[in-house]
Amino acid sequence: MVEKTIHIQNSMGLHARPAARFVKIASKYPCHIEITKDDLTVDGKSILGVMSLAAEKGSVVTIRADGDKEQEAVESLIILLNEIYDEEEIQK
Amino acid sequence: MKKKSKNKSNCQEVILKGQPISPGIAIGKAFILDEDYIETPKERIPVHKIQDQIDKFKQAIHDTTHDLQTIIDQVGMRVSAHKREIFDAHMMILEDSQIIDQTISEIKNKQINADYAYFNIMRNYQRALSASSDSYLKERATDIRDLKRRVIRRIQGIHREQTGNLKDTIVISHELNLFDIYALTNNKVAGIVMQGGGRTTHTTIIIRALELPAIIGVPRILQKIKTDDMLVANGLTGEIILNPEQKTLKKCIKKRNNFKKYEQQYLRVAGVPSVTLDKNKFVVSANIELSDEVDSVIAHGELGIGLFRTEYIFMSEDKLPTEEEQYEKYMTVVKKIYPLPVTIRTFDLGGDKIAPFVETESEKNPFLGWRAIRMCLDMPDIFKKQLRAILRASVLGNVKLMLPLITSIEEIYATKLLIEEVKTELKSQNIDFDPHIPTGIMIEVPSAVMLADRLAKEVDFFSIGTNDLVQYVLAVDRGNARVANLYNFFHPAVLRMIKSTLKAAKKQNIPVSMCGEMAGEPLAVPLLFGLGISEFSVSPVMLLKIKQILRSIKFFEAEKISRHCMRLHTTDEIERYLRGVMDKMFPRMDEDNFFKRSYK
Repeated sequence: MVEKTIHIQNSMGLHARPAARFVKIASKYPCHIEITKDDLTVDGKSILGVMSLAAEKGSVVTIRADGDKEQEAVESLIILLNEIYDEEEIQK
Repeated sequence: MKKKSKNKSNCQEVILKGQPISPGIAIGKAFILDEDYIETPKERIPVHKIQDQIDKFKQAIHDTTHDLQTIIDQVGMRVSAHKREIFDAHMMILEDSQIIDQTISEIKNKQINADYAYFNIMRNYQRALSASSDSYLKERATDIRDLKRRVIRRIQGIHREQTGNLKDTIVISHELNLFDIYALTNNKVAGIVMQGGGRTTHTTIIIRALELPAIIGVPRILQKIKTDDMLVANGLTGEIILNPEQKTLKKCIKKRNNFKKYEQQYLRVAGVPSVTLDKNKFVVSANIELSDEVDSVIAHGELGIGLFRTEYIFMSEDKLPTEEEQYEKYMTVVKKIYPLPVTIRTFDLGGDKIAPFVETESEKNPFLGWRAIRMCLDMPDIFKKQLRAILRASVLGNVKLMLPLITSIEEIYATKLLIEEVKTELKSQNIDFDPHIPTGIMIEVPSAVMLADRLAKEVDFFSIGTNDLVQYVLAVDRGNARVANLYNFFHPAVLRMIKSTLKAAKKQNIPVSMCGEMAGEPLAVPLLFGLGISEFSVSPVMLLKIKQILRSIKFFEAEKISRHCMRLHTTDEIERYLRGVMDKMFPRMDEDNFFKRSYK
């Protein structure tokens, strides 16, 4: 099992479009992926799950993957979150 | 007007009112297409049959996926990136593992029927999302409602395509999305009535482009009408007649046939040249908001685009559109409409159009606040990206550039500087653009009218935007119901503003178009033409009507009409006079309420 904790930095948090992008990437991996904020854990491959987390800017979330390609999955999801943040920065 | 019928009380003629969004008269039986129509009574399922329910549910998801895929394939290449995103979201929610798992465990644990379990789970998500303040999430609530309906119909074995022949029915729903609209058009429905809906939503724009009679915002209509009730829906007036009496029905059929006849006449106008009876040339062009709309413009004959509003490109996403995304949209329109011109207006955000990508504090007077060119000049990086995209597209066809809400010469100087910077950058990168791209401004603020003689020396054309001009000249917010009746573009002060703008432009020999709602108001057309407006930029549905009116007048008559109007003292006198003129020109049209309403 691989686990990584990250600070959500982009202004829209992890709902709306970023959630859709997150789920799209997560769904590409065979392993089980979940994401936790406070004491709520949801399926990282479920768009409604991720949206219902309501992870806003500044919240701390933990991404956990278990199974095939778990390392790669967590890494690419972290990269995605950073990318979303960078895109916003560029637009500013 | 209600009239006592001799029949049973439930067959009484009733008149309901809504907001007309797409002209035409639909007569037919109602078909209710809404979640309230599906019934999912709770059933207790014996243990040995639970697996059947689960299989049924999985099959329903599978079939619905297939249904959606079919629609996507039918729509095919016609969809834009934004619509594809909507389709994507539908699919993701439909196949969402959390929903599927929850439904299956609900069926197992509570020993209940699949449709009931799914309905409740989806309803919870729908409620949570519609309570959100985020517009993207709110939109997903509509997706969930739609999917809930589709899947449950599949579970119950009555999926939409079998719910009867939809041909010639008037579809009544809470709110329809793009999927529904395309499906309904394929089924050849007569008209659409929605309980909710908005005038400027994507769905509305598409309905209008498809020329389907439609009415939105009819309170509690779903409680008042049942499937198979006889209906008349008038997309010109917003009137809905439920259970029309024989006499009413006859009248409505006549109205509809007249309308269709006129529509046919207009279609014939598509191929003929834009000249008046005395062979004076005029230009009728279209206002569009989406690059998709260009197809419906082309269908109306050889007409250009007088106003391509770019706000939508900036409002439809949570993030800023990149230069490439913008370029792609401008390019599509420019290429498709070539060799005819397209006037691209830089983004006019602020006021009532909120930009999702900037954090704006709520303003006390948004229409006197940070909007349009002011916002552009305060955010030069974003503005320059748009200018770059427009300039790059300019080499592919016939492009003009237009700036919104100009109030001073300084704003033109500042914008020109930015344009020059962008041109220099493009040159140094060896990227082609039209170096002589005509640049014009909107005249929509009284200060611009007062300075029109000087502004005319700085730019290549004017376009009068009456929607803003009227509200600034008359100090009326037409969104405010208490004063909305004071908003009228036939006010003598407004006419003087228009006249003085035209005079200043004539001196510098630059053309003046009009792109506000007034340009698409049939009553105003002879007056405006007589004053000297050379181009009428109107909504695609009004194109041929305005063209036909202009083809039916002589320039010197229009001049006489405008001179007479300028002498009249009150708004009321002017309107009455113009109505008289119109009645003489087109004697039978008024009965269709044709001239009482225009469509933005």
